[in-house]
Amino acid sequence: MRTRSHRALGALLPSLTLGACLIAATAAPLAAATRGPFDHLPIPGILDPIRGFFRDAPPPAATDHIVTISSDSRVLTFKLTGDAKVELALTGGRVLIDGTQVGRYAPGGALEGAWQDLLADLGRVPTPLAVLRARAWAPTGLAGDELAAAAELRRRLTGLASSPGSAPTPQPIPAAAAGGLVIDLHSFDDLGRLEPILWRASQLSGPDLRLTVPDGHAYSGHYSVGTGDEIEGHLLVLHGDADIFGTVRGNVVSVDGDVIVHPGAAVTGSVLAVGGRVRDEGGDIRGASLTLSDPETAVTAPVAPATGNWNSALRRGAGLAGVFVTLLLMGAGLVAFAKPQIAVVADTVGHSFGRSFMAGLLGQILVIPTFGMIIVGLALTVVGILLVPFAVAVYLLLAVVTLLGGYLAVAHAMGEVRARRRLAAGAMGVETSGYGYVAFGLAASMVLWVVWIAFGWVPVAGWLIELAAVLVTWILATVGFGAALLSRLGLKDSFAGRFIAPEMLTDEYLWATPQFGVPAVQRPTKGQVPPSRTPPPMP
Amino acid sequence: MTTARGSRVAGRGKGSATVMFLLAVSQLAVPLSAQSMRTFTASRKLESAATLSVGVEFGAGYLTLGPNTQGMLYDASIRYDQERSTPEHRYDATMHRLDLRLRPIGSAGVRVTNREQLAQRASLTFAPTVPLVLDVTLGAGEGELELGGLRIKSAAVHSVATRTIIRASHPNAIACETLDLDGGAAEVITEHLGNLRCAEIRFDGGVGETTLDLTGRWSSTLRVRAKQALGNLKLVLPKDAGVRIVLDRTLTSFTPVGFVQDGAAWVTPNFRTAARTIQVDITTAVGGIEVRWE
Repeated sequence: MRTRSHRALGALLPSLTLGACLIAATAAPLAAATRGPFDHLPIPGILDPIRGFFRDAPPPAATDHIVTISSDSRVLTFKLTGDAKVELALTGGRVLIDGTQVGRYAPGGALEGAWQDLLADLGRVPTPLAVLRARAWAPTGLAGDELAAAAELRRRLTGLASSPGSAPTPQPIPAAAAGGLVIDLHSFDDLGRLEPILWRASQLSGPDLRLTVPDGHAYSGHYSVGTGDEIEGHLLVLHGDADIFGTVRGNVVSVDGDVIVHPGAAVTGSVLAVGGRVRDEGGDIRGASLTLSDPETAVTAPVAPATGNWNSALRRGAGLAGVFVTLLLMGAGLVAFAKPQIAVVADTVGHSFGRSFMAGLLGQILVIPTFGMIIVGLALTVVGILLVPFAVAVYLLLAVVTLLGGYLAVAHAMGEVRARRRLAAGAMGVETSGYGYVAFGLAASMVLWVVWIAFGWVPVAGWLIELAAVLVTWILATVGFGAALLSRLGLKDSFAGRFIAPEMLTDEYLWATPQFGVPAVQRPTKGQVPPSRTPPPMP
Repeated sequence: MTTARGSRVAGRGKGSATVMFLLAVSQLAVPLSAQSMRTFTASRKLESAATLSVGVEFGAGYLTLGPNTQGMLYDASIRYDQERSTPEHRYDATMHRLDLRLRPIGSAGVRVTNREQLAQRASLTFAPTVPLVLDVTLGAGEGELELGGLRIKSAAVHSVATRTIIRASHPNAIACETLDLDGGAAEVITEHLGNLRCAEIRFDGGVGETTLDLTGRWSSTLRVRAKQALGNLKLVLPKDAGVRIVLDRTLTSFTPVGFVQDGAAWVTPNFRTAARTIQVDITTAVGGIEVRWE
């Protein structure tokens, strides 16, 4: 059963609905117009709220912009009026607008390249100019998903506007005082001199921005030469585009902006755009068109993430461990199968260190000429030519074996010296096998490389550590190479300090006083009191 | 009073703390950025020039050179490392002389970075309608020069330590006076040099491999003077040409395929009757001379 109020409501609802439909039908076309429906009425103020209700909302105005580049993402952020912002990002294969995925791109592909170029461009210009360039962004050569994603990006970018009053208005740059900045644009022959001066000028602002262009003019912000206008002399435009519709009788330079030469325009001299482009859209540039891009630092060399040093250290550490294990296995093989030879080479290192180093140095110098002589010598004979491939293989193999074997012998010698010293000091449980010697020696020889892994990132010091590591490794390798050469790969022990006269190899040698050979030389002479072997008496 | 053991422990503690501090700082440090690649472009619209003289010096990197189709007198794009080099562009409008070089500035210091990122590249193109006098010097790097399609009046290519390919894929519209090739420690490969229609080709090689391909569309007589200090010289000759080779060699092998000896020279049987002839003077020290007929 209906009440009275229900009946009243039932009559009101159709009326409200009809009214709302009428208002909506009237307002829709009005809202689409830029001007409000009551703008023509001469009663300002009273109807402003109503006008505001029906007028289009102005596009969001950008007050600032930020370009963020990392190893896998390129982000463009526009800060808008009212603490709002727009964030457009290409990251990890996804195209995001305000955090929402609107498409995909191929890393390293055309879209990423075009986006990267845009960001590189926007990163160096003021926000109003960035807005203009972002709105004009039109990548080419895209297809499929990338084309669709680019369309979404463009749709968002074209909706941007600069905040009112922030557009870079062209302003003449006052002339510098005597001794101030002078930029001579008569010639672009020496860009190495001109470009730093232009860069310095581009860093000036406010009252500091004063410079003199001999026989020319300088402006900051967008500057246009209108149709029919003629400028006598050179033209310099900082932080803005130089739009040429008329004639410039001289050279034109833009810094952080493009030079656009429109149809019908003429530049009698040359055109230079630093950090911008020369866009010849049908004008007449009678001189050269030159461009000098900004350094690619910001885009192609993103600063490594904080984990970069750890990753680098881990990678280098893994490499060093790999080298260590490989050499250790080779050393173990040598000890197992060529123990006498590696011992002779190691003894040669120990007893003839300097001689081994010199021999190694000489060997390194002569290794290539010797190789060449062998090859030429073989090539001179008919039969010898057939042996060339064999000789090449054998020579290379011998060189590698000599070098590696020598290095491992040095490691063996280092381990042996340490073991002897520890034994002499009365240490117990000292490892005296060849395997232990090689392992210790290799570890010791790589200490500097470990230090380099830890501190190689440090500028200067890192290079010094690396240099020291390389130097020490080279010295060890040279000594080993020389010892291997002197000992004929361990077959000859002339320099190993092992020479014992054949006469000494008798049973008497075990007990008799040496009469010849090295031990005899070291025998105490008359007048020298041999050290007492009797322990001193107890106090 | 600190005991010796205490001192050692304290010292060990300080050492550990120092190492830990350095390690911590090492991981917080921001790597220095060493990237400084820039791109320089230079172009000029086509103008009426009787001859364009071009001097190009490119110290290190990869250079390409060829004709353009955009109606430009020249169009150059150079990507360079601003810490190592600086570009120079000079054009003398009265003499129609272009000098383009990448001048080393020698302040790079030690650089350990991605080689690919630091690769310097230059691309030069010239109008196919203007006679050119080319003088190209390449330092360390590689060069690929397509002279076919250009109007080469004369050309000189100096390769210091590089791999250079000189190609003439299309016949030269005008007769070329000379082609001078100069290789220091380089590999010089030429293709269809006959298309250049040069009166004389001179090659002065130091150490390296050289291929002189003399095939192509040319007529009358071509004179070739080649010197090679150390390395192999490969001659690619057109089958229909009459060829006469005069050798001055020391330790150089030469297999005279298709030649007969005529005094101190080697000649092909058709030398006196052929419509076009090649006279080759070769001076070599150590290496080999190879002949291939195409």
